[in-house]
Amino acid sequence: MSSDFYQSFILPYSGIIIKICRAYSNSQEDFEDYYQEVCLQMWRSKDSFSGNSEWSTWIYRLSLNVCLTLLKKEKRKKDQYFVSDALPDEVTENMKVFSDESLNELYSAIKKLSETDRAVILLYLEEKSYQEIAAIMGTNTNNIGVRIKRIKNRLKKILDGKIN
Amino acid sequence: MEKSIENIWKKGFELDQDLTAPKVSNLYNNKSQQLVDKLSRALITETKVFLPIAGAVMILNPLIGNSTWSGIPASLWCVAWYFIAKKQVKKITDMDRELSCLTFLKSFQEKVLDIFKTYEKILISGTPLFLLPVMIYTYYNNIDKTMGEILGIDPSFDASKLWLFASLPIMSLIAYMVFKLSVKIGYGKTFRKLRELIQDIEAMK
Repeated sequence: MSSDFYQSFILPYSGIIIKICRAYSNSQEDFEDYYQEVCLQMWRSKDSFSGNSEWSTWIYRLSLNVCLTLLKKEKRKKDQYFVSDALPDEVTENMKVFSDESLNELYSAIKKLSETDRAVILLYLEEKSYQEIAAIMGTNTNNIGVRIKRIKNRLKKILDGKIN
Repeated sequence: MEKSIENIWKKGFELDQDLTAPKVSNLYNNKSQQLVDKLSRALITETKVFLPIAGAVMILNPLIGNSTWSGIPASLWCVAWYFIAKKQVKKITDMDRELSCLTFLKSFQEKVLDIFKTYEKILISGTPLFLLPVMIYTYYNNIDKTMGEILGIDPSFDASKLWLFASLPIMSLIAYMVFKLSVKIGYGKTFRKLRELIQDIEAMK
């Protein structure tokens, strides 16, 4: 790692990483673990960055992969240790991490989506093009538009309190 | 402003304070651990390799037409290396891991460099010692002496074969250069990462 790899290549994109990690973590402790794991993976995998995509796109892809992997690991652990006593969702839903109340509500709603829907909507909100979203998600561009529309409708319903 | 999810997102993140990166000290702890473990594993594996090599030399030597006796110095050399390396590796496996990350890394780096310096010294002084019996055997064998005569006592002197012994320092030098090159190829990148990691942590202090 060059002496300022973190300062030069990770810190300028920390906002992206934070937004993604917040969407997948359930507590401040989890969030910090996720953030650090993403940074660590970046450092480990930086040599595999081919330059075919933009560095920021690569960061999105890697951050999402790391978060999804960690989430799966956590689920496995919960399955093992909390078979009949899973942690209540309310604990995480009420976590207010942003100063903007509407944003906290939006994040709570996003966390109710499936893992892949979460990734798609985060990328959409970050104003990524359908092509970029498809490339990052490894899916077809044609599906993205329809999928985003469906996710947005679901989010609106959750935010209006129509479904829980 | 319309309260769409896009607007909530944009407006919500206008305040930079919500996007302050958490401290990454643990990141460096993890990276340090990863590097230290990688380097330690490599050194331990290399140590273990000497014993099978010693056995292989003994078994294969007669198969390629040499006498069993001539394989003994090379095998002993490998066995000696195994014990030397085992003792050296203990220097890092016995280290106190409760130290702070930077102190530990610096101490680890110092110990690893010390291990390789020790290997260099042993290689330079040990190579002639290992090759000497081989040379003596070759020297006498070339003048058709029996083993009894080799170890005994009637060493006929043939000056024309003395050049063999002159090659000892050259062999030492070659062994040293091969060692340096293999360390550079096998460990160069890890050493560089270790150096940079120490620099990073020092810069962050």
